[in-house]
Amino acid sequence: MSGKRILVIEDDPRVREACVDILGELGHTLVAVDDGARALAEIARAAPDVILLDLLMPRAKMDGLEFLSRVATGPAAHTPVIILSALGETLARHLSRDITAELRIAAILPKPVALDALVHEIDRVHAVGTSL
Amino acid sequence: MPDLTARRIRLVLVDDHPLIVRGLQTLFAAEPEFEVVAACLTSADGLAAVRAHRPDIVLLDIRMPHLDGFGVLRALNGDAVSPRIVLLTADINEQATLEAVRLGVHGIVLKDMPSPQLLECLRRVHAGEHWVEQRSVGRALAGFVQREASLREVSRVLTAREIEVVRMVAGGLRSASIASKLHVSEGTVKTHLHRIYEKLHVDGRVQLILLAREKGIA
Repeated sequence: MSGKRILVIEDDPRVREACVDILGELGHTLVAVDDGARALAEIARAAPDVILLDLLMPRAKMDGLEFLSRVATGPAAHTPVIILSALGETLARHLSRDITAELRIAAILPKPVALDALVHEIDRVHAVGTSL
Repeated sequence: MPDLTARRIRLVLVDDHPLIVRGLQTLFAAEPEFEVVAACLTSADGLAAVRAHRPDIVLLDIRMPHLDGFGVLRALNGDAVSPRIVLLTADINEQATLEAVRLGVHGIVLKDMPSPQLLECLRRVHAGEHWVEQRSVGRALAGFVQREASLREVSRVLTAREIEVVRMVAGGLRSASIASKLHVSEGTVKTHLHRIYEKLHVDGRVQLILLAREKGIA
């Protein structure tokens, strides 16, 4: 499978660096930022194939929730999003398939993120599209 | 016996009710592991105290005049280094809990919580843990995402102006008030409404309000 351009939006530097290291070793091109506003700027330069998104980033100018709203009108409106969240399990329980499909949410992974699950979801997104 | 005063948990208290502040001071005075470095009755004094004393934890009231607890959180988030924050509140709903978590609070405690639990919350937050009801935050987070999905769905059908009209109708405004706010005639608003009813397959204003509430665009 060819490498993809993956945009990581995460304010925890440990998670960000782990994603860059591990997914980079697998042949993907990683762009990692700690703020939704920077992510939109990166998207304007080149739309990613997959977005990894942390929803709650208190010190960011734009957190993941606001990013999710803003990305809908740009060039990455149809890019699959994998959500990384400490509240991932609760979130997944409350969101229907219709809602995740509408927002192009391909997967919701609880934090701490199991990197093998992340790799699996990225492969799956490439293979089958964005349904949960 | 370990010396609990060797590394005390340094606190700043911010609450506009003197009785609450006095009660907290009395509570912490009896606990050798805690030290109140400042007790403030206004958010402005609280911000100044946090920046001057660099405490471990700020115990912060949400509802305060001029700048509320959320305003204080936003201000502190702009600083290079900010302490851990525990919100102190008489009550809090899911939306406010989500807002607090989005702003990075480490704990939320109710004012009627027994003292031992408050002390335990502060110990845990000081140790790097969070003291927030996770299910409530999760539900609020899901609600936010759900509203966003509904808005996108509706955005494909309605124009931006039509969505604005829907929000105003759902907010209880009559056509004349909407016309005044949008600087258009009442007839134009009625035309917008007619198109909105057709596009959303609703029979009238009541159904539209119900639909807007269901989809979270009210």
